[in-house]
Amino acid sequence: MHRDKRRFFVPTIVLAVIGACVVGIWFLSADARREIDALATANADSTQWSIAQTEVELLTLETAVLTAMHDNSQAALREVRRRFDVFYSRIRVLQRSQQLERVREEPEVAETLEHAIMVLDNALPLIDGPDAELRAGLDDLEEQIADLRNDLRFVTLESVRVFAGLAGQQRERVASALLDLAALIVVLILVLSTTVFALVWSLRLGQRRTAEIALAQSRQRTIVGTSIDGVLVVGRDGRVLDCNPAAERIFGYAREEALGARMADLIIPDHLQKAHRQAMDEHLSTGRRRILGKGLVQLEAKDKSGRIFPVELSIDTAESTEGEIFVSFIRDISDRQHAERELVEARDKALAGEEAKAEFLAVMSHEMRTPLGGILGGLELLSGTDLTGRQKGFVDMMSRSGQLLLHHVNSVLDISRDDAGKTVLRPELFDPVELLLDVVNSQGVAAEAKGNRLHVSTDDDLGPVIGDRTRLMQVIVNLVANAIKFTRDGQITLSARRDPGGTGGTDVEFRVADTGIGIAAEDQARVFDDFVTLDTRYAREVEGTGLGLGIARRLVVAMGGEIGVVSQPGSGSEFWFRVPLPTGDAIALDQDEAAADGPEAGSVPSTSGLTVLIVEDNEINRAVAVEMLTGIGCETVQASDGAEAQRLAGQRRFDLILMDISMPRIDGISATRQIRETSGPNSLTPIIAVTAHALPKDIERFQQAGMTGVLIKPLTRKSLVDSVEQHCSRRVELQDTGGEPAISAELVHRAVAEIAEHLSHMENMIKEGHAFHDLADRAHMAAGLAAVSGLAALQEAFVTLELAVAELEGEEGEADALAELLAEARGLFRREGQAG
Amino acid sequence: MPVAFHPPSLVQRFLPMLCSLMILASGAQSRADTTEDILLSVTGPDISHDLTRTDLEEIGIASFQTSTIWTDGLQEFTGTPLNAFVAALGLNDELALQAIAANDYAVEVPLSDAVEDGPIIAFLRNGEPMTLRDNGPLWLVYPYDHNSDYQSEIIYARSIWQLERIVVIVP
Repeated sequence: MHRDKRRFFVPTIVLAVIGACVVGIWFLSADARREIDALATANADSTQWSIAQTEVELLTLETAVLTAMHDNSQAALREVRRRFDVFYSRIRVLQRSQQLERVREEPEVAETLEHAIMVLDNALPLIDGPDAELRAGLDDLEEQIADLRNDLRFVTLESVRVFAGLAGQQRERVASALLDLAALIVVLILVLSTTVFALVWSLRLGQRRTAEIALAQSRQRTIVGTSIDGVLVVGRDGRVLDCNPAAERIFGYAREEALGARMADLIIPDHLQKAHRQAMDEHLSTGRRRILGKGLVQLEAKDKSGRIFPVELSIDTAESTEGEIFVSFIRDISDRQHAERELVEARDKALAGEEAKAEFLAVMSHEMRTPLGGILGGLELLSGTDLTGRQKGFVDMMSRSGQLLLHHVNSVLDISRDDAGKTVLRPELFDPVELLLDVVNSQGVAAEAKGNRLHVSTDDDLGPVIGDRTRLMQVIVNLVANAIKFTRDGQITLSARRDPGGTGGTDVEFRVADTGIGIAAEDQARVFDDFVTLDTRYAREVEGTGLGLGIARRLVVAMGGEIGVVSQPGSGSEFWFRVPLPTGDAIALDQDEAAADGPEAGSVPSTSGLTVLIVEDNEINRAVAVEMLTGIGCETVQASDGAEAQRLAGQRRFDLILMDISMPRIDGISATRQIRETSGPNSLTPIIAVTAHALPKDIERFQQAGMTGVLIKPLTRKSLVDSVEQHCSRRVELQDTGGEPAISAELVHRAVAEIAEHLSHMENMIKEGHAFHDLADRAHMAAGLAAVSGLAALQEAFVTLELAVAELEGEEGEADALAELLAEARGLFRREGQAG
Repeated sequence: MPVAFHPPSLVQRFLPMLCSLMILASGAQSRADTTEDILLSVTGPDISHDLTRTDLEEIGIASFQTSTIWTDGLQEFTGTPLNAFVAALGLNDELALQAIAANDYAVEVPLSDAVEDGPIIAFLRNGEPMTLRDNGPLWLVYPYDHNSDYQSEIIYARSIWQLERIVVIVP
């Protein structure tokens, strides 16, 4: 706006000035012309001539009069009259002429002329009279005329003086007019040259601007031309005004085809035509902008061949000389979308692969553990027979190898279990130093094989602690195994100490230091990742899955601890981890030892006389189980699959059923469900799942099918005895007519301790608010223990709790209700348990 | 005041002209015996005319009002238009007129001055014949007020009064 005003303002001023100059010059030149004309007009050459002529004519008259005085002819008189008239007319002219007005303004001149006329008028009667009188008056006339001569001379001189003055003034006026004119012309020339200069300058400026614009346009053309996005310019009428090569390529139309054509006809697919028309109409009539200037929009477009493809579009309006235009940038994103789809597919495939791998690992570990269980069980039984020293050595060797193999399989299973959910910790009372010594004993052979000395160095007597001994041992074994791998002819030192931070906490720190090759600083963080083998040179001679440290890390974290490594390449590594391990009490430890010794002692009256149905498709496993159960005084009946189990279960009552899960025809779950549903003799018999499927979701499945507990393969005598004791104690009690506890005081003691442990555990579970099915398990176990210990009320409380878990599952207020029941159990335990 | 210049009608212009031509052709002698004064004598190669006022009136009459530098106030002049006069004489453009006054003032008037609405050879001023004492009897007057071109020294010099003779010359 402002620029526009200025653009018009300046030329207007220039024009005004030029106009003023021209008008000025017009007036001044007219003035000058007038003055010059006046000079010409007033230049009284003729006037002066006529004044001078007056004198001449006076003299002529005088001469005529003088002639007539001597010449009596009539002609002479006529000449006098004629000359008189001429002179008279001349005087009259002098008297009246405008030219002589200035002269006549001199009073003396006017007087003189008056006088002259008076003289002539006085002479008129004489001139007009008869010849005789004229002749007689000639003398007189001559005298008067002679008198006039001086007067006229005076008039002549006076007029010369006046005219000279006038002429001077006139010249000055002309000069001044010319000067003014010249000045104005100078001004005009200045203005004109300024204007010319300005015009030239603005022309140059214009040329430069034009060049710049041309440059910018060429740049823009290059940008648009080389753009990989299609550019389409469309007018308000919807026709294509311009397009770039990319647009030609995307849509398949040549530029010549596209220009002037309706954009909608060219590139808008049929199903979008209506929407496009509506949006366009709406914009044209109301100026509403839906996708205009809104950035990237994804739409579909079609090309010349009719192919519909996805595009990314950015469109906005611009002003042009032809009015509003629509400029759009269009990108064909079919490739990108294709790539995205492929990526998603690849990801899905990878995820599916991961799942398949986990599934595979779980299945494989199960499949491997089942035969392995048979081997180990067989070896255990074999070691119980009479063997020579050599044979015992072989059995030990095979047993160790089997254990190692089992360890690897368990590692893999741990990983998949850990990845699938939680590691279930099973706390117990143990002596950590003893644990270290156990590890040294078990790993000693492997260490010696590489010339390493393995020993425990701990001054601190830590005393008994409560924790998951098995997991802890696994961590230490993994660390020791790792140390052995990377150390040759060195020392591996195990140590443990309480409260390393000195904070008064329950943490215990374990250290496994070696004098091996060490780990570079940049690798130290990686060593705890899965399948990491740092040194390929070593990896070749070192066997293992590369999972050892990864599992160790997982387990430590699961136990609520931390793990790390300090290492100096070339001089060795020191792995450390800290886990919370609360101090246990001495009595519990004694009882644990007593319990552990129990089965070995072979005096377990609680299990003797029980009839157990063993359902297992694997013959070896079945045999192992039979042998073990027989060993603790149980009677056994065998079933090789679910169908047989159902049949047998329908025929007679068992005290306990050990049910394998994976079996041909009818699996353990279906068989269990059937046994529970039919109100046969075993509808209430405890059914223990025997499986390698130890994932939480599996356990849940077993429970839903009606199973009472789980035994993880491979079976050991201890776990088997525990399980039988746990689930059949009630029955034992019922069988006992005296109502007296059928088990020893020590066992009662131990049962009470375990109930206490279960109670704390269940309370923690409620607090953390998850794994209620575990709660049911715990409640079930606690109920068993309470029954064994003769604590009937407590047993009822645990059973109620167990049932409540299943009933309330998923309902609102579940946690509160369970907490209440648990609190009740705790109260009962406090009254009955402590007393008992 | 209405413009007092009355251009002659066709009849006014051509009838008298024809008559005058006849008159001129018939010779001046035929007029010699009349009592009317000879106002203008025209001479030149093969030309010799003495013209009375009647002769002049027959050639053409026009009148206009104008002021002059020699008179006081507007004057009405009536006389023979110079172009009619020149036409009547049948002069061609290569010629000029030498006008001579009673006081022997002489001036050359080019035939280019003989234009329509141009000068007249006036014999009446304000309706009255002009005497010698009154710059008459003939005065070559230009319509100074009607045309500023006529307000120049040259034209003033050509405005000859007390005109008595015209000599046709080759300039």
